[in-house]
Amino acid sequence: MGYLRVEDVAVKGLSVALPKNEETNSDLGLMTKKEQAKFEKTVGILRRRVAPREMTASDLCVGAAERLLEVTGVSPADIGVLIFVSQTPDHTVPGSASQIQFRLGIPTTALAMDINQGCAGYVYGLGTIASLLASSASQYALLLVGDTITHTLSPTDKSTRPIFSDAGSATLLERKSGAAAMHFQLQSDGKGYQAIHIPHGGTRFPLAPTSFEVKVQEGGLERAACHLEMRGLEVFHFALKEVAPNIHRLMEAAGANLDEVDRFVFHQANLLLNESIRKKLRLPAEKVPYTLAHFGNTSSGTVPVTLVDQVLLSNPTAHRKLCLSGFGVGLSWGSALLETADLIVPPILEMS
Amino acid sequence: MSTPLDAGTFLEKFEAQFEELEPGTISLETEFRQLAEWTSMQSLVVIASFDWEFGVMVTADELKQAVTVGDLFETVKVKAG
Repeated sequence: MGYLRVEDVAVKGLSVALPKNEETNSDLGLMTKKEQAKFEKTVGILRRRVAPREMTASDLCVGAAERLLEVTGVSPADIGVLIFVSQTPDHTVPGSASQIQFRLGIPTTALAMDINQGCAGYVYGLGTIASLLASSASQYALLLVGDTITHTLSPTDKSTRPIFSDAGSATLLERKSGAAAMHFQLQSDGKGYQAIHIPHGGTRFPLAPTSFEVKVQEGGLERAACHLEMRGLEVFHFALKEVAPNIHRLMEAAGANLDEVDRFVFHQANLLLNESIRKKLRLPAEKVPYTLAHFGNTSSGTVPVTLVDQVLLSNPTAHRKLCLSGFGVGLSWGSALLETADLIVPPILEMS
Repeated sequence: MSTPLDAGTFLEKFEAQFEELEPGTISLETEFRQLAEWTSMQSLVVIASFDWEFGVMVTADELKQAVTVGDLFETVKVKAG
């Protein structure tokens, strides 16, 4: 069972960093006008943020973390747990969390580790770090979640290039006696691992000269084995089938019901899919915010980006009951139910 | 499903997913991939509509095997029970 219940831990603040560089669908020149109109209506993405080649997910997350520590006044010295969730680490070996610990001036006594997760990464990361903090003697934990997934795309693959975008985030958690319990329902199914994957570059199929040969795939898509591949129909079917039951299971385990929830923040996959999930759960549109149009699918970044931009920034201190849901690469999916109040949320940081 | 799925209802709902088709253009014999509007994105629209209209999930493989609209109707009908 992937159900977790965590007590005496609360979110203190949340911060997001985006590359300043913006790209539109017209900039790409990959679609006809008609295709683009259909894409924008169905997928819902108009603009995306694209990191310059030298900017990595860890850079965006460190930027977000520095801003968050500054506004919360929490010293790096008081952080005992650091987790970096990403599919785009700085290096294959070693993981990036230790370098981030060093860059942020977090003490060497802190636990620092990477988690390889994407679309469900924020929910997985939050569940993991909250559980670790609850069983540690530390006062604070720092969760960094983000991807520069655009670095993995074929420039001419119209099944991925107009969709994916880059972002980093930082979430500060604290031990707080009597805080409302957080609930998590985390699931996985590796049978579908090829639905979203980069075929070459791991130890199963190491990079070789053939990894970079661009081939024309089914449907005229152009990419090489070193690029991210997404089988849209398989992902769509998986999410349509699994996300709503996962959220129902979360509510059942938490002894809560959907009506109590103020906002449902979903991974920003595609408008048609997200709206289908919303309708299956019979959720009112005003409770399900979107950032797809302007920020695209930032992979692991979508949940914190949407949470900050569409929910928290307007009134960070309000008490809210939130349901978060991530689904995709792995295949992995999960949801979280948590309460927030008196949060510290700085404006979105734009980095160049 | 409270009422069994009939071909007329299916065709009407299927056709409604296409923006540029005149009503009555599609029949069970229509090879849907030959429609000018058919794209990989349109396949997502159709799969979502099957789920929403008929409560049926059609997989990527099932869609791949179907050639005519009638093939899709049979798949949906069987799954809708």
